[in-house]
Amino acid sequence: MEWIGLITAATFRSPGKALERDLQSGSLQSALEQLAKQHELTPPRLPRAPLSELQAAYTRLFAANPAGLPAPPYAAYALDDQLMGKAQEALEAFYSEHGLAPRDGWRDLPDHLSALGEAIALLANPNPEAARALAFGYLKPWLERYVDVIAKEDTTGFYATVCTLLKNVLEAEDEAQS
Amino acid sequence: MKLNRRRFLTLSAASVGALAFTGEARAFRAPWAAPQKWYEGEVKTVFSYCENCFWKCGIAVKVAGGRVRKIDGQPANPKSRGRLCPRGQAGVAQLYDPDRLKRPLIRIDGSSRGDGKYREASWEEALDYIAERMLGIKEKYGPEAIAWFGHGSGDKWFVEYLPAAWGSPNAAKPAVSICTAPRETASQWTFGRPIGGHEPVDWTETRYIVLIGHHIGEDTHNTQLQDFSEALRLGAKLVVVDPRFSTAASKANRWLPIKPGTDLALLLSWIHVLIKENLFDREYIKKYTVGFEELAVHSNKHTPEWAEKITEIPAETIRAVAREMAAARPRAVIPPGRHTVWYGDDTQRMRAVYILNTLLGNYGVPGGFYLAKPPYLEKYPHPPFPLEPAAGGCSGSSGGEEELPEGFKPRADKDKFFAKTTAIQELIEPMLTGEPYPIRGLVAYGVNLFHSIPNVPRTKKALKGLDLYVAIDVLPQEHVMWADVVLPECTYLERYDDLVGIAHKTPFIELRQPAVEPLWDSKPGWWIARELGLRLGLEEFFQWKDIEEYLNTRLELIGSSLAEMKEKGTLIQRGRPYLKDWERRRRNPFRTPSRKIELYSKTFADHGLDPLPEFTPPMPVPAGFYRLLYGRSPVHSFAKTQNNWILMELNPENEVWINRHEGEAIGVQHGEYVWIENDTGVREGPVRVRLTERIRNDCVYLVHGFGHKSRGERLASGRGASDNALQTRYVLDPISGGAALRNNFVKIIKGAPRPKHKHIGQLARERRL
Repeated sequence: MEWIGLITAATFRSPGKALERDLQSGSLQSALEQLAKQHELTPPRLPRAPLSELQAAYTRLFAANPAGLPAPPYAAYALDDQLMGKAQEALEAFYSEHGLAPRDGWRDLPDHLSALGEAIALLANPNPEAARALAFGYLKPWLERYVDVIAKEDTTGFYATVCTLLKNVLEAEDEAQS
Repeated sequence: MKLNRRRFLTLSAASVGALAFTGEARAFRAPWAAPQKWYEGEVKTVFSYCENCFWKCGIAVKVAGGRVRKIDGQPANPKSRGRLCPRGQAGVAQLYDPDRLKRPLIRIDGSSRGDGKYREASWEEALDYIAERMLGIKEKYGPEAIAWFGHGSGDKWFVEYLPAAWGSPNAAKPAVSICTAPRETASQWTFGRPIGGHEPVDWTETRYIVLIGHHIGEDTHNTQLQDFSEALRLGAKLVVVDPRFSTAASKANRWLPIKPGTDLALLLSWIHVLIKENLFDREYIKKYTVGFEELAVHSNKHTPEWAEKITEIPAETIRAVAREMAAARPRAVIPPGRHTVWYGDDTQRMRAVYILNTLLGNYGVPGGFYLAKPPYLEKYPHPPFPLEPAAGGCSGSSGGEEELPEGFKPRADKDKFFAKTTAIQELIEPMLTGEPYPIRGLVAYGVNLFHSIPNVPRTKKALKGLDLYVAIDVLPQEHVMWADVVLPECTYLERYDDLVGIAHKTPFIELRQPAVEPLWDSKPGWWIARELGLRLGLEEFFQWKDIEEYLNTRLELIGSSLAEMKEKGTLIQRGRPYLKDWERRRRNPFRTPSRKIELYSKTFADHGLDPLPEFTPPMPVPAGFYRLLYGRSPVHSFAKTQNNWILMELNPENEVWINRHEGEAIGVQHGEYVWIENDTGVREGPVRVRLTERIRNDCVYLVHGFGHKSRGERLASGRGASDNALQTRYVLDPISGGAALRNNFVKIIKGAPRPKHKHIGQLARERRL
């Protein structure tokens, strides 16, 4: 679960120097490969895109788009279509129940996918069941709803690649459990 | 490469910093425990004022669990009296609108304006980017080369404070030249006083009301509507003059379906009857006015029979109404209305409205107009700005000579018309032509450029040629996504604004304060203005460290404090509503050159303008076309609220009103979708047809604000037709600078497809609202 959380957090954070470093060093590619292998999936190859293109794609997909935002990056919103709604209240309660709280400097909603990914990663070792509950209760429904949209709209291929892998991994996990 | 997860977390993009362990895990709730209703827990009430229209109702915001749950009216507030309209109550849906702008955006290098290609940026980068380019423009062209447009309560920072500090006279609001400019200019040069944002009609004391093209009941200005209803309950008679059987007309004793564009002829004939039949208030005229003799001579020719031919209202009806209003005087009133830019002779029409009221002896008298007084409030003691703000406002200054400090250029629209407030539509041309000097940059705050300024293609062309275009807004409206830099402002429920002083029967001050913290990385306007000002080298005007210090300083200067205002929300002062109140203090309320009500305006004559109103026919309607009229929906404000779930469920699209017989003659059916095309070929729609007897056969009608093109506003997009898009022509009122918009002509084109939108109710249910 930790890799799922880390990759989610890295992917859905607004792209900047850190992501550029991860891509140039190959560490994100390596992380994807390890995650894929753990679940006997074919490791995907991350497309090479300059940071400026990733920033444009991220903004278009997740932040602001004159043609309508294809994939609002809010896990609770994907569940009940309400910003600050019941699903988000439940997520905040879940964080709180597991000793997590948004940091003061965090300028987004607590169900943003990068925050959710961080929560999954943070909980993965001390409380694997809680991490799993977040991954299956919040991340997987979001991916199921938006992965096709992202595949269609992502001009870089980066977000489509990562989202497809994450969705396949969670489905494989689910299958393994059942 | 084998990765260590800890190391990846520490060093990589995965280290988001959104969450942290607090060391305290809260106990699990028992799964069987019933969820608590928000109102059963701790509920905080925050006093503020509404922004969902511009009536500025005092609101009481209910906050529980860090979320705004409900918005009520402030009981002690004179603008709301504890009640709110649907827009006020629906503010929660705007706050939690997922389509909101969330963080600053910078247009991607190499993309064009209108492509909508952006990257996220930090506030520091975005503000530095803007400041660098603004200073570059100033260096090359001068400070006047930056124009500032604004709409809404927060626009104070962007059309008054910053432009005046920066040194640009080119600051403008659609609320002036696309709305109230004629009535304000006319009022200043007749009474020497403004009308103001809260029209000072003494509704509940009046016994006879004549509404001319007035939107009351359709613009839902809260207490105005309360008072209007009360007046009718108390037995006031109502006459409505309108080509359309409006909501107000449905309550009226008489509906006069006037031929569009001829209202001034009707007003002049009423003046004629009052004078010729000796029905006017002779004592009042003698005591308070100048120019009656000239008016009497002037009105000789304006017989009801003359007016009948022009207005299509029978002469006998004209006479009957004049006699009825005279019988009720001084408790008879012709309210000024609000949106008064109609045909191009608008200041003269408004002058006629005021002259008629004056003949009834009602100005400053119970049952007529009360004398609204602004509250006592001091400015923040910053050094004097190099320029006076020129944008004006609902009650802004509107005429007279201008003194220009040395080293500064006059407004780019100066000399095009008489008034001294800017006309927003006249600042577009210098962006295109560079005449009389270039405007190379634009800061647009909260103003919907493509839904307010006529001739949208011209506006788009002008935007494309600018060196810098900055948009500050809450939602990604179409024009916003043309900007070089987009700055996301937080909503009115998340911010402070400057104090607002309401001129009223009982003057009062309202506080806007945040009910909750701003969502995402949005910021309040005051903060954006201050940070930009500091980067532009305007530190001397921003010596206050934050808005609380600024507000508290202003309030302490009048013996109050921010703490008191936060607790009360509204600070009410004593008014001086009637002439007798002024006379008791030996004061003169009329700030005209003659210090009297000017029936005849010598100032106008000196400037080559008609000193008395004269009727000029409107532009004729071409054969095969209809005059396009437009108005308001009671649950929407302009083009600002069409992405609000709650309001869109109540009114999801506009319809084109067509006279039933006319519709049948041209073969359209009630409920079918059509295109509307104007006489320059601009096409709008699809829009649904409403066949009705409630409109004349020479015009069609649309509610303003629909027909959004930005798909970034998912609810608003593509619903209905935009009247503004069809308004490619306007006639400039040579006195006020108003853009007269009822000079556009349209035809109905059959065969438009029915839009494939989900029903709002269905969307709302899916969203479990």
